[in-house]
Amino acid sequence: MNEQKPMLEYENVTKKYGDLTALKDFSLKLYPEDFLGLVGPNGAGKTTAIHLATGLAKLRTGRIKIKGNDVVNDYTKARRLVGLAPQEPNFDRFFSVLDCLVYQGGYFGLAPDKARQRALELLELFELTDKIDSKPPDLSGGQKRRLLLAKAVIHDPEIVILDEPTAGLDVELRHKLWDYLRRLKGRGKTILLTTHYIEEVEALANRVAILDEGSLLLEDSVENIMRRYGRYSCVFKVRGLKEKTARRVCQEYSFVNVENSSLRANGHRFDEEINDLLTTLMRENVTIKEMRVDETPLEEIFLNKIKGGGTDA
Amino acid sequence: MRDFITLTRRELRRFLSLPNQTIFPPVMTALLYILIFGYSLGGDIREINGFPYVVYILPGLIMMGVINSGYANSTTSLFIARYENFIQDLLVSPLSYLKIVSAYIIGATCRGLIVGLLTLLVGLIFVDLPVANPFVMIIFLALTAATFGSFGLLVGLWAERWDNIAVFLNYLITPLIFLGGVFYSIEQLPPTWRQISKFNPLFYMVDGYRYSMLNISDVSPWLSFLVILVLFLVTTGVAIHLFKIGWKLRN
Repeated sequence: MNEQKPMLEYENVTKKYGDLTALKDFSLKLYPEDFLGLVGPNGAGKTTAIHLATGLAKLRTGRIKIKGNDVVNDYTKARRLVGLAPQEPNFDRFFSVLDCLVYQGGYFGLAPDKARQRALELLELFELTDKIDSKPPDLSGGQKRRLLLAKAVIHDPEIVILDEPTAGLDVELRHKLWDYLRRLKGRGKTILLTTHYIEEVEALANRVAILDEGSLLLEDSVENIMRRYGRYSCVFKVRGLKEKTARRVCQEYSFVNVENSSLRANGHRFDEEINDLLTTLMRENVTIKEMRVDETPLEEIFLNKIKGGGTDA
Repeated sequence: MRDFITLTRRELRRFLSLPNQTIFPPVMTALLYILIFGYSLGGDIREINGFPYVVYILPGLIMMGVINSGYANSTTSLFIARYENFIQDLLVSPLSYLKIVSAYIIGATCRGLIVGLLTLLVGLIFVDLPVANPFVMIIFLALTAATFGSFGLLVGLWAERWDNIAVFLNYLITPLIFLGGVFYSIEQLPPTWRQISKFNPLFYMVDGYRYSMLNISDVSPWLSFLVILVLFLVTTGVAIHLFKIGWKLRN
């Protein structure tokens, strides 16, 4: 149970578009410094969840609070705390890249000088300094993504919400943006990220929520999810394993099989189970020549969950 | 207030950076009317209420530019922001709906005022034009531009295509301007048409403004002021409400 007050809190939120229910009784909390990866297939409700929190969709059922501020009744206070990088690039076509950032800062209350200084810093950080006078429609896809991110953080918000920020980017640029997001997290920001790249969540997030057809299927820390739903397969090539010892190990550890001079362990809780097994083997003077471990990737857990499968240990 | 000042500055800068689209065309149109009615056809038309015809119609021509500019400014600005989705910049920001609507209206009002005053300046070059009540003139110019700025917001919210915006301009505003006494006094009309003209809100704008310049009017300038004020308050109130409920802005 987290004792901290949530930074972002969804409480029984349901959202319908005509006959389509985009979110069903959705509840979720993000605490200070959380980096939560919200994943799910297309149409799962990820963007709807983001739009409801940021004022881009009408909230009719349920409540959403940002640092205690209701997003409907206290919207001016709530929105000041959030920076959003939406999925689709949308820039004020009348103005330059620099002006877009300066105006965005102004909308969040930054003084013109401060907004300009901050915009210049961000343009340098995102390697857009040479595009300062360009119009946003003239930027490449990657440059637009970086500008979106700069817009989202121009006012140094406490919560940063990123809707598929790396969609369509090449690997190099994606990794550069990951580095920036890690730095943001390092500065104590609370981050909500939606993505289709599960490896992005594994690389960046400390918590994961899986959404499918508007329902939250699973939400926990990455560590707990791997522990609960992940499986490992560990193969030891050993020397000095007597038949009597092998039988006893198999009896004592139901998750272990012996094949010739190899031991194969298949389980859920790698740390506890393998530590215990290794202690026993060492006590029996069994020498381990080689060890290979395969773990279920988070992506497989995600796929199992959205197919309605997966094993809960 | 910085958020509000930023949006207002953005609105002003948008139209000031495009003067050939936003400022000069209505001034040019008014100039052509002045030349045609002042030097070409004007001699064939008798005076109205003791003023040469070109002098009589000039306040209406100025008001025509102000109305079109006020309407076009907020309609275009809001519609493009919606169409290209950068309206999201405002929707996710802490700007209150009152501030958003006010900034758009100030932009429209300033554009209307600039167009109105420039047209007046051009008119003064060619015509011996009195300005009887300068303060009243500014009030009528500003309030009319603000009202159409506000009305433009409603159309900017409602429109799905550019065509929708043109429909209001071509089939409602322009006919109402021309039938609102720009080129004649309603006293010259048969009684039935005179009464019908009084249901045209644009008549009060033209008549009130004409009073501020020529000191003549078909109805009381106070009535004209009141009609425009009520229109402004109603359209602005509706615009704020529509922003608040997110009509055509939020799903």
